[in-house]
Amino acid sequence: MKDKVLKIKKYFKVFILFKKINFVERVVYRLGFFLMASAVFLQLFFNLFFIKIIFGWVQNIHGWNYYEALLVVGTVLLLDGMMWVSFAFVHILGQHIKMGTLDSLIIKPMDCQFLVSVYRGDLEDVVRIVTGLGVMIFALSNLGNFGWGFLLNIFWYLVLVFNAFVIIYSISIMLTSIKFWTIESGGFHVADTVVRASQYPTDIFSGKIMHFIFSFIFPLAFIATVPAKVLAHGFQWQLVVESFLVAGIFFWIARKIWKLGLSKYSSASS
Amino acid sequence: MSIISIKNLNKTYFSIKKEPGVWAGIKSLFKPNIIEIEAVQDVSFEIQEGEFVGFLGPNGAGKTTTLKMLSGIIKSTSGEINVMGFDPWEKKNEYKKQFALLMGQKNQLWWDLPVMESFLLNKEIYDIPNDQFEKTLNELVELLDIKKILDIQVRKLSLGERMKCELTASLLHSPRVLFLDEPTIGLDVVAQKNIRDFLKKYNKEKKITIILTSHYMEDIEKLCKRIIIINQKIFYDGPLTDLIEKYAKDKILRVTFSDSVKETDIKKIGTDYEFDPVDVKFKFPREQVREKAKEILSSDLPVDDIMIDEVEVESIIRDIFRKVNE
Repeated sequence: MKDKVLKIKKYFKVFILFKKINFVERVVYRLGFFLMASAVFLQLFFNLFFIKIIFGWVQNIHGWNYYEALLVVGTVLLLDGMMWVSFAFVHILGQHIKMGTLDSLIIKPMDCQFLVSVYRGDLEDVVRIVTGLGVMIFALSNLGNFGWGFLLNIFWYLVLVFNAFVIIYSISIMLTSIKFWTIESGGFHVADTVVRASQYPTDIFSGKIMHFIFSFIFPLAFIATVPAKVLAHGFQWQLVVESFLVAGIFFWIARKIWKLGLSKYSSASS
Repeated sequence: MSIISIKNLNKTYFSIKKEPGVWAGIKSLFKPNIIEIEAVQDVSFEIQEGEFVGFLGPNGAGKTTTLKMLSGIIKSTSGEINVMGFDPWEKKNEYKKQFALLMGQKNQLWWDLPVMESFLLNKEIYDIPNDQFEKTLNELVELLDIKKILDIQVRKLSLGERMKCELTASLLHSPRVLFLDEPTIGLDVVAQKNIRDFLKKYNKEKKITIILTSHYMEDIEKLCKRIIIINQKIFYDGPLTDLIEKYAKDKILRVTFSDSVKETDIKKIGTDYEFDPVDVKFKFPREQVREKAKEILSSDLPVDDIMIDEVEVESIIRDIFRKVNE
């Protein structure tokens, strides 16, 4: 037990150190940092503008009004930002494989998947987190209904967002691991597309089969729709249980695929 | 009990043979020409604690592949590896904390940050206690003379300085075994010598076991008593001096003259020579060299000085590699 605690402490400490390094590295090129940050902001602005336009035409989409839909968008922004700031590995695994930096990570006495995950962080994506928070606050203040119940909703929302983060991370690991087989350093950013797709409430894909697909095969629903739903309408135990289940299973599968990829790397390279 | 032991190690991997040209590229997309490459074949050796072993072979001989297998980066096709009682492929953290792999062509330091940041990161990753970290760091900083550059960004360092820092980063956790793959590649003569002197001292003081690959024979000559030559298979394993005796059939006889001599006179003595009117280098078989020296001294050539020397190790190894490749 004590060993476990020490181990978690160590991983946390190393995570913080990597983020410190990422930060200092980014700030070295100040102009680049500000340019990247503005680019991110511009992209977000157009995204939000588009949602505004849609709701200029219709009052609600499948029971989601404008502000509720914004909760979904805000959640995706938060998650996307958190992912890029902490685990921006998606774009560099191919580079690690090609350049051989992966070798130096494999021989370190820590989990290799962890080291690859935390190796890079794109600090300019803090803009996403801040914008996401702004969008959430704006939407919530327009939805009203504050009170004790609301605090409880926030608690469950945070739990579900944690699971959502695990799901996004796992999907990214699964899709990025393909690079162990393809060994190319550019392209193939399917993981981004998955996250982007989750910014629309999955209820718009109606029907039982669709519901199943987007809950358990491509669990887009649990990324933003479900957390937003619980935040706006309150706790639903079935959703929370399913969210834990999906997060757990996806994490487990991702780990398996990663290990398979890594062993493929080890037997193929010279 | 030896610290490193390898038995009947084999590594075969598959690669797609690429031919030049767009059409060939498209063809290989659908019908790849897969070839089997036997990188390492039936390699066995044992290394004792504290040994400094030179690992030689032509390019593509399987040196780096073997080091990678010893480090647990790649899996062997068959055979046994045991380092300090561990099977590297199991990738146990206890094992990883006791060895280091340094590849001269790769960079493990953070390019845009002061060197010290990379050291601090390694301190956490390797669980090095504060007092031990300080002690080891001070030792290495002094030995390698890098105190002044600790706060400088890695990208601003010279190649030689960077290699010193790479070495420090690899040795902070006081490994018992060190694998060095071309640590002096691209360095100038002075920097090479600095690294060499450091390695020699460190090996002696710490009893650390080192396997070194290098293209510079001077590294090997100065550092390694024992060498292993491989070209997929093991070609030679033993003391460097024995190898020289076995393969260096010739000796160099160098004669300097007080006055210019004619090449026609030199030709009478031997046919294999480098000519300069006042300085001639002959190459003679070992057993003839004394006779020839006597012959030159008793001739009426204006001999000023005469020296018998070994053929350079570099050229011996070159000859061996040529033989290995045949």
